[in-house]
Amino acid sequence: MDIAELIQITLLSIQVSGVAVVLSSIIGVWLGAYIATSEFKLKKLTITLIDTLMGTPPVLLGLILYLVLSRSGPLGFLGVLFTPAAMIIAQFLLTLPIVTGLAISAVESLPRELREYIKSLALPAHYEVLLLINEARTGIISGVLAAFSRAVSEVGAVIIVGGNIRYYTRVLTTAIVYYTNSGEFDTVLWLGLVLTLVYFAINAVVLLLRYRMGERSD
Amino acid sequence: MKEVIRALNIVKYFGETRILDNVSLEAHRGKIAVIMGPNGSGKSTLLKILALLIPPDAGRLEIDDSPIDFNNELEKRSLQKKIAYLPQRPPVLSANVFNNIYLPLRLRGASKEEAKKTTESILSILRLKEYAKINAHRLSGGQKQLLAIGRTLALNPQILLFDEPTASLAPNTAETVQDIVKRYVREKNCYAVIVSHNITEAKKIADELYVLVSGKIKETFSGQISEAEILKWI
Repeated sequence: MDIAELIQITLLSIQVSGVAVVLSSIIGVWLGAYIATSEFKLKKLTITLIDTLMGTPPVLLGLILYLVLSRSGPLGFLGVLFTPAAMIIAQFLLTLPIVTGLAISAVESLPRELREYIKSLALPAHYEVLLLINEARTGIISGVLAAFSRAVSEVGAVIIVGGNIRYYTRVLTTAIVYYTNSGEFDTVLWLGLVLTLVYFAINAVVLLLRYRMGERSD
Repeated sequence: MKEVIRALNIVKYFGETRILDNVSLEAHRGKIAVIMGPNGSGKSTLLKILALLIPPDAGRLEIDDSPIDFNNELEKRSLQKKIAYLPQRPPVLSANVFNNIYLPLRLRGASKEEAKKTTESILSILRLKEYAKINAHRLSGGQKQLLAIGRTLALNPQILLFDEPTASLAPNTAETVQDIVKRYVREKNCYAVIVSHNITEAKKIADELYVLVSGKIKETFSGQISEAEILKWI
């Protein structure tokens, strides 16, 4: 493998996981905050379901998505199987429960007085949720980071729906699987190092962001 | 229509424990009703019910002769806009002191100019102007309390529900707050129910005083309030 291919694989990994996590964060953070602040009959069951989905085996999700996206499946007409779009959908579905579940925990763990104060302001629901998200932002950022780490290190789902096609759907994790099977362990170790560096870089950016946010609010 | 907040035979359980046992009280416009009682007597729970934050298990709440339906979210939200509830340990938002007053005003629909003007004036009155840019979490307990009171009054509420508003304030600041609250209630002709542990404070601000012990109203005073009578219960 040459350096150009390594860069292409790395960028695709970041792109696929990044888009998936951005999408799951936009929906998951709002959904989590709404669930945490709302009172409805099946709330406990809903939270239990989300907690369960947080541990969905990627291979199972990949298989289900494969059946749905394949030509004979209900969404076969989209023609996205074995494309980066399918990989994004897989990682989006995989990370959505993580972001949602951790957003629920972050909002629910805010002090009761604070939640009551915000509720007593009788703001429109979306403002109330926005204020709560702002207060719980540290926990929520941790949730997003956990989701990204899950996405970028995931292999089961993307290999099934992406197909590990060279220069097209091959990402760091699926490349590691491929080169391990080929016995090219030097390449595997380099890919592993790059994967670790990507994860480290994202962590560093988030840490810096949290620090800046803390500083700005001071 | 009679202008009164009326709680009638309110009952509240937490688990198996009966926190409020047929509690009834009235608060009138332009007057301050004070609730006193030992720790754990149910004062804060009663205040939260009046603030429509938790529903009673039995009993009725009426505002200006209209019964409140705790299941009607729309009605509750519309009423809550008129209510200013200040909990025992008032929280501050993770923002600077200025934004702690400015943000709720803006989110409630005030224009930028209006919100800015009100915030600056409140900060001046409370002598917190020099802390405007500081994170509110960095204020002392007393300053946070002052900020919370200012933030509450800035919203121009019609019903004040304060839970021990002067508990963490120095005596002279507490007196200033008592004067501000008393003046506000008289000038705006609004309702006020205040929970207090301080007999001197209660005597100073209360037009009506309720002594709540073990979830029951044991004594009601209006007009002349006898310290000895209160002390008998607390």
